[in-house]
Amino acid sequence: MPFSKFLECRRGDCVALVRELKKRFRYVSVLGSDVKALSVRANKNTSAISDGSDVDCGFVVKLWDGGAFFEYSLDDIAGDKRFLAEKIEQELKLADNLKNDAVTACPLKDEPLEKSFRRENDFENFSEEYILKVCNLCRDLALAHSPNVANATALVRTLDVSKLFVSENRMLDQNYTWVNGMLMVNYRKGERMISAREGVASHNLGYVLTALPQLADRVVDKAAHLVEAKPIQPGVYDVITAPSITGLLAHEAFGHGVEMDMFVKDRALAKNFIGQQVASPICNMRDGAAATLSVASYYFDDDGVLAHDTQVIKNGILLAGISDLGSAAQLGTEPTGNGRRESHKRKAYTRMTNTFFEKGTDKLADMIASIKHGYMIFETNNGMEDPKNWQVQCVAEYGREIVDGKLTDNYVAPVVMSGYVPDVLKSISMISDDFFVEGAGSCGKGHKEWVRVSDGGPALKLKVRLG
Amino acid sequence: MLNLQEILEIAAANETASEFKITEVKKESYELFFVHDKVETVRKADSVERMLTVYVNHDGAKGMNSFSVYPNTERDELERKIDDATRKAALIFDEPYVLPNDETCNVLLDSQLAHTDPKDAAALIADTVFAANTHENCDINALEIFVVKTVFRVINSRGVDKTQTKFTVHVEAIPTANGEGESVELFESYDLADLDLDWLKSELANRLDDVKARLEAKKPAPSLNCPIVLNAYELSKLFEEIAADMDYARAYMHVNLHSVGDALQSDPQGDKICLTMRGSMKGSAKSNTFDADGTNLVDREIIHDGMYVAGFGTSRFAGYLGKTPTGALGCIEVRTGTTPTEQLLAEKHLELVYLSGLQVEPLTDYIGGEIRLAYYFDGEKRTPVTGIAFSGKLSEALNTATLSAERTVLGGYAGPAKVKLSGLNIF
Repeated sequence: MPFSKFLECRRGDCVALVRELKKRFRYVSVLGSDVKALSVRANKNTSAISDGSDVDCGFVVKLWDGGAFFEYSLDDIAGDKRFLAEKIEQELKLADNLKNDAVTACPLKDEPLEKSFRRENDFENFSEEYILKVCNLCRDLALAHSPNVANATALVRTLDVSKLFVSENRMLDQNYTWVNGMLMVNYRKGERMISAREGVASHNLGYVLTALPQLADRVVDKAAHLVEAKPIQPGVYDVITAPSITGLLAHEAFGHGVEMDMFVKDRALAKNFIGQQVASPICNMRDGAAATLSVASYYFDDDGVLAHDTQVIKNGILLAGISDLGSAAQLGTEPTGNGRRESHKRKAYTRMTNTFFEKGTDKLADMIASIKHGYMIFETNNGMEDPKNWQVQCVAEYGREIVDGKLTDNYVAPVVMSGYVPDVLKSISMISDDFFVEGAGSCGKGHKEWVRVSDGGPALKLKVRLG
Repeated sequence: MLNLQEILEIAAANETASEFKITEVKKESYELFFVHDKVETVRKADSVERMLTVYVNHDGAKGMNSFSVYPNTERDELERKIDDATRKAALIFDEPYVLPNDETCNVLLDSQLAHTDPKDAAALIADTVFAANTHENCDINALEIFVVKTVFRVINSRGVDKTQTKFTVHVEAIPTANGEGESVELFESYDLADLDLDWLKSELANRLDDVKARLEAKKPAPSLNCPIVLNAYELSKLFEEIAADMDYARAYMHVNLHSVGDALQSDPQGDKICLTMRGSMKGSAKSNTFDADGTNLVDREIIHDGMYVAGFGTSRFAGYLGKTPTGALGCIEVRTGTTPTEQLLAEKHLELVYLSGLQVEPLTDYIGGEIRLAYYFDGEKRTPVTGIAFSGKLSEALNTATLSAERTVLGGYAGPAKVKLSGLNIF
């Protein structure tokens, strides 16, 4: 897909508005977003082709003059720039009682750079009609598999992101794509009804459309096991995390804890542990839009900072956090390209991108064989961080019991893994030599500000409480 | 920039489209972000979101396609998009349904916020939040305030033209307690329909008491074995999950577990649960008068004395099932019990104050969560505890429910302020 025509048309307007506002503020930037999203879905009863929920089009102006930051979000910036600049300044005025109580920050960096970034993709090779046909095929394959399948839903979501960043010294634009395919079945047996899902993701649509139908057997087979799943007996177990849960652990246990806007607010214990051992010495963890190719792999962030690949934990030692432009300015550190917005209408916060543990040297079979009694746990349901107090909760869709070194077909569901972060991470004793990052996640800040993220890694062996 | 009338005319001129609908959301948001008690960011967001849905009746079926119409969309581009939408809609073979028709209204959901400048409202809220902190060694480490005016309009080709204006506030605050070498926090998030500063101050003062208790909280030893008491935030999550099973859309998709006549409580030994879905409730930011199709919202009791008695849902899925639509209802009211809170808390129990997240899975009959702060009452003394979790069978726990007589409203929930459940594992 080419870069947005709309943003291209507004490039001159962005430059003119920056120039006008620079008369009043020390730092000015404009971010233009044009995100096209398509959602194609088919199930037993209904189907749909529509714009996806990630659709976004508009601008956000960021200003700084030595105290607080100011942001103004609007749908368009065409028209008289002097009038618009005055309106922005007027609308952002602080109430009198708050004027003298602002944070302090180092001057925002605005190093010269002009660059365009494009990632090749194959979106133009596939029509919506063809995507719908694939969804219908997937649905039919799943429904035909078993009379217990009450319904099956196939979903393909595409994302085509164009962003333009303009400041006094920088002019950046980027275009990249991402595709998620998902097949979900609702499976009924007697009084029980469960749902199971399988997904596939790529920057290329062709790959997803080819892979999705191949998931039908697997998802129905999984559902047939899950409907028989028993509750887990709460306790502390030897556990192996599948890559999805490894990623969830990376995300919840340490990803949120090293978001440096939390350092600014004294909300993260990790701030006091830089340079200290926080995990087993065999643990290495990274985050970054440039760390791997997945759903959060952009070229520059929503502050106009180029994508990074940040080593968060090396050999169990906490090395660094991740930050957006504003947090870095308050802390006097370098921003790491992690400033992200839910949409042009929302604030930029420090956010994770692609977060994962690096692979190790152990064979998964050896890891399973090393456990007398425990569980291997699979598939992210949800998680919740607690960076201040280092508690973590990760909810897996299901687990499979390991008995005498063998992975059994005894399924348990759901499985809640919880504990004190350093205890959990220091208990990691084996790390597999394979690696998978799942590009299907969404992450909130608190209970809002949703952005797309990926996470993953190898399988980990650890000791942790399940319930 | 095309105005709404021009968009309507262009849509109506398309000969392939059988029907159409336009929704428009105009939002003005004034936002303040604090780091400790210092202003970090001041934001203003002005946006207009328009979504055009084109319906095509074909081959005994109905198809639709929805797309965004941006403020910069030109006339010829919109005409092309509508043509494209009719082509896509013709690929969809859904069972026919009837759009709402011939109703107009213009509603203001009244609030003090309608008469207050958003900047003043945000500043008043900030003052209130910081004034709530009277504890030594306690702080509000971060605060976010959003004062939002939302004008929602829905128009369709069958004569619906409805507008609703509503004012809401979102407050996110982080009460923090600092001890020697340790600091703990709670995460508090409120959606308010009015500028009820007294309520906000009192609520945050209570949360500051709680965060101070978290500093003293210890993991209990040995494991506890007692009933659990849930508060309003967790109750709203619990009853949302329970109610969702009776949505007509789920029934139509064959993914519901329960039907009318089934029991939520198969063997109630405590209070019998009565749950009504509502369109609006006094004090709830989730209140609305009509839904995205333009269907007027009608309250409906879906659970009576522990039995499922009715479903609820949009005109489309109600129509498919031959039921009367209620519209998409967002508020939940649960009938209070008769046990005064004081009595409910008089015997041994564990009162959950702060969870990492309540896990409720009606389909797999599960309830559980990691407890970050709770008060354990052993019959004599109330002690803050942490580092534990609980889980159990949802159906068995609901059979034991004791509902408090005291009522509370939080977000989209109104009902017992506290509910006591037995038979859950604490570990």
